Parts: sequence; C-alpha cells; structure tokens
Amino acid sequence: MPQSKTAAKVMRILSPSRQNTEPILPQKPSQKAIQDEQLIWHALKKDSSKGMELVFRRYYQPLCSHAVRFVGSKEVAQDIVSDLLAHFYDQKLYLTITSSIRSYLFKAVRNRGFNYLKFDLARKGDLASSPEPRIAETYQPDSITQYEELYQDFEKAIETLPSQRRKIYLLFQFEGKSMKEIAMGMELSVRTVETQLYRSKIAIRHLLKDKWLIFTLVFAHLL
Amino acid sequence: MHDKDTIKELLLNCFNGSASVIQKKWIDDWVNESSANEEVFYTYLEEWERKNPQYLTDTEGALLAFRNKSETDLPTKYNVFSVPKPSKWPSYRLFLVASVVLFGLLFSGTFEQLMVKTYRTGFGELATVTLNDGTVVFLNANSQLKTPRFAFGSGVRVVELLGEASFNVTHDPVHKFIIQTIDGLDVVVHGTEFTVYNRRNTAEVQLKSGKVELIKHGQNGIESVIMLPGEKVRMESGGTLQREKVKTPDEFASWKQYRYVFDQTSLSDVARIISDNYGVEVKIADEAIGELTISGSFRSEEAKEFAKSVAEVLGISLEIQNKHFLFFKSSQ
Repeated sequence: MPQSKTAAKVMRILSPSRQNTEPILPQKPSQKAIQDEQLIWHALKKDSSKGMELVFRRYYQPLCSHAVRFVGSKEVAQDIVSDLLAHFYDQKLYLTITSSIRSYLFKAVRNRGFNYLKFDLARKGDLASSPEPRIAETYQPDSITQYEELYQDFEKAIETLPSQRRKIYLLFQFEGKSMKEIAMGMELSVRTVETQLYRSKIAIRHLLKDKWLIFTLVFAHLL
Repeated sequence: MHDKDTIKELLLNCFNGSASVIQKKWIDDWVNESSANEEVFYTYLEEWERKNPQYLTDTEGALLAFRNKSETDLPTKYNVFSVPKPSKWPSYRLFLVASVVLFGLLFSGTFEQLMVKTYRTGFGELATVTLNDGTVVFLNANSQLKTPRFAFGSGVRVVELLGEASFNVTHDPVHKFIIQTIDGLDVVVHGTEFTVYNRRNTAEVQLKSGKVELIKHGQNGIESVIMLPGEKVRMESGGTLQREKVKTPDEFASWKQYRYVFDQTSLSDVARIISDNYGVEVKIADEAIGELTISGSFRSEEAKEFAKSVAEVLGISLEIQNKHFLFFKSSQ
C-alpha cells in the first residue's frame, strides 16, 4: 500500500517528539510550518509570555479567518479566538497537549465556531413556525470533513439570500454595523432593515436545520 | 494511489467545497488513520486559510489586548512562584506588615459592628425583635437594643438597652438574661415579661410576671433588689431605687399597640412621652397648665393626633409648627 507508506513518512516528519533530523520530503510549506511550530513550542516553555506573542503572530489571523466562516461575524470570531488563546495560555495547555499547537488550536476553534452557530441560530430562530418533531439529540460532527461541510453550507445559505437582504445581513453580522447605520447607508427605514435581518436568519436557519440543527429545537425549547 | 501532492490537492478541494462525497469520505478515513495525517490536514488548513483570508485581522491590537489582560491577571501568580530577589524582600515584608496592621486597624474599628447587632426604632416606630434564644423584645419608638450578632455565648445572655422595651424572655435557668441600662443598673431576668424604660437618665422597670432581679453597680458596691409581679422600680440617675406598686397592671406596655394609658398623669409627663416617642419638641407655655392631669387611654400612631386629643380633653389650645408643639391656655 503506497498510501500507508506515505503516511508513515509523513508521520516521521511530524513525529510528536519534534526531534526530527531526517531529510525532509520536498514539502516546503509544511517543513517551514514544522520549524515554526517547534520554535513556538520551545519559546512557550522558556518564556510563556514571549511564546504567546509568537502564537498570536502566527495563528491569530488564520484562526479568525477560519472562525468567521462558522459564525459570520468579525467580532464574534475575534472573541472566540481571543478566548481560546487566553484559555490555552491560562491553563498552560501547551504543556499537556499531545498534538501540535496548530492542530489543537484549529480543532478547538472549529468546535467553538460550531457551538456558537448552533446556539445563535437556535436563539434567534422563529420557533412558532417550526412544527418539526423535537429530537433530544445533540448533533456534533463526528468526522473532520463535516466541519468543512458545515461552513460551506453556511456560506451557501448566505449566498441564496436575495442580494439586498444578503448585503444587509453581511453588513450587520460580518461588519458589525448597527441597524441604524445600515438603514442610513442604504436609505431604508430601520424597520425594513430589521425585517430583512429577521428573514435572513430564518432562511439560513431553515437551510441548515435539517442537516445540522435538529437538536436546536430541543435546546431552544428548554430555554 | 495518493502521493503528497494529490493529498494536498484533495484537501484544498475539500476546504473549497469542491470535493466529492467519496473524496470526503476518503479524507475522513485518512485522518482517522493516524494523528500524523491529522497534523497534515491542519497544516494545509492553516495554509489554505492564510491564502484565502476571509478578512484581515488586527493581530497587534489583539496581542495588546491579550497582554493587558494577562498583565492584570498574572502578578499574583508570579509573586507566588518566582524566587524573590533579596533586594526586593524588605519592601515585600514592609508591604505585608503594613497590610496586616491596616487590616488589624480596620478590623478593630469594625469589630464591635461585626459582633454586635443593633436594632433601632425611629420616632413613632415600633419593632418586634426575636432574639436567637427565642426571647421576644418589643421596642418602643426611639429606642435602641444591642444584641450579640452570633447567638449568645455560653455564659449569660447580655443585651444593652437605650429607650424603652418590653421583654418576653425565654426561660433558661443556666443562662441568665441580663439587660444593661444606664448608670450600671442591670436587670437580671429569670424567665418573665416586663418592661424596661431607660431614657433621660431615668431607668424604670415594670414587671408583669415572673421574677426579675435588679443589680445596681454603684460607688458603694452592689445593690440588689428582687422585684415581684405588678411592681415598678424607678431609678433616677445616681439616685436610689424606688419601689412602687403599679396601679393598672393590665395596662402593661400598652404602647405596644400605640396605646397610651394615663392615670392622673400630669401634662408635663405627657409632653415628655410625646417628645420621646415621636421626636417632636413639646413645650408648655405656662406652668399652671403643666400641673393639669389627665386620665384615660389614647391610641395614636401620630404625634399631632395624640397632642390634639390631649389638648381637647384638657380644654387647652395647641399650636403646631413643624416639629414644635406648644400647649397654652385657651384665650376664652
């Protein structure tokens, strides 16, 4: 099986001991990434505050960018990532994690993003018009690519919105503009903006719920 | 079947959303195969996210915010774990000593407040206090009762009274109940119902039932009097104890219902009662009417109402200005 052979090679490169001195396959980015990872790891052990600076400089941007795919809001994405990094630092998780820092951070940010999305949609959705049976089941992605599917579905859901509604939704959610600002900028009434936002929410929720948010009904009902 | 480049291509397609269901299934299995594969997955995810940023973040700002937060959070932790430099020791110690002293000062100041609970009634206000031994105290207006905040100790039960109160003491032969009043007059109780009055340098104890012992700590040593039910003992400041029989024991602590019972009580005494209980200034214009006496029972929660009915009964006039009451002879 050539496939597993490759895997074995990769494993050697990325062995958790990080003491890899073997010649590395021509994989420039990952080689660099490994070196960076090692550097950060040592820095954290030596001086955690300095180490965190490296973590921020390296991962803050991609993590925020990834988080925003799930939550659709700059502010929320930044909050999630800052929270995550603070937790990582306060609990000294860099001493206990078995995977690389990158794996840990990305996995965690995906989890948090997913949890936020389901909470947000359950909170703001319209329950009265949802006659679906309430299934007491917490759906959590059980394979890694389901996270990919989730944010892609989320993006598609936003894409299906009529253009004006989508614009308003993005201004409000992603840019964090207030309803008043949007209304002024687009020469609409605040009431219209409000309605459009509400409809966006319902539409997105409608598109996501069958696949992802069955449980949110239960969740919201309990609240 | 899959070399590195193919895997990379596959993963990027997956991130972009152009991977087929079968390809995704393969990726899932491949990631589950080993943690090294998972690492590869996240390496490419990071790379992809770097190349396709959704927006540009303010990393410096976030770092600054993080620093500020951790700087305010961490010093305590660091003080504990770091080995202090010798030169820093004196200031550290000084700080410790200073804080202990400061704490001590603060504590001694508030010690009494901590250990003693004070019940206070305003003018025209009554209160019922149940102490933690079950004793019920009815506080008359403008009175103050000090009790230990946390239960009574193992010895005697001591409270301090200023003003007037009626006690219904829970019987406990082991732990005496003592009420301290002015000028070292202690009322020692053996399970009874009685009233203690302690205003204007005069203490007065009226006993309804049970047994009460009065102990006076004077310059000539200790004087002790045992009271019998229906008796009233009065002590003026520095004076001696005067025992008298209460004429109307039924009217015991009638003020509990805002009721005042007078029997040949002089207007000057009534004025004093009004003044004490309602916090108003009561004056009598001429001494002759101060001698007038009044009998009967009045019920009033308000000073004005009370004074008006007194004036009516005595056929004198009353002038009220805010909190100043003046009784004077009617012109007719």
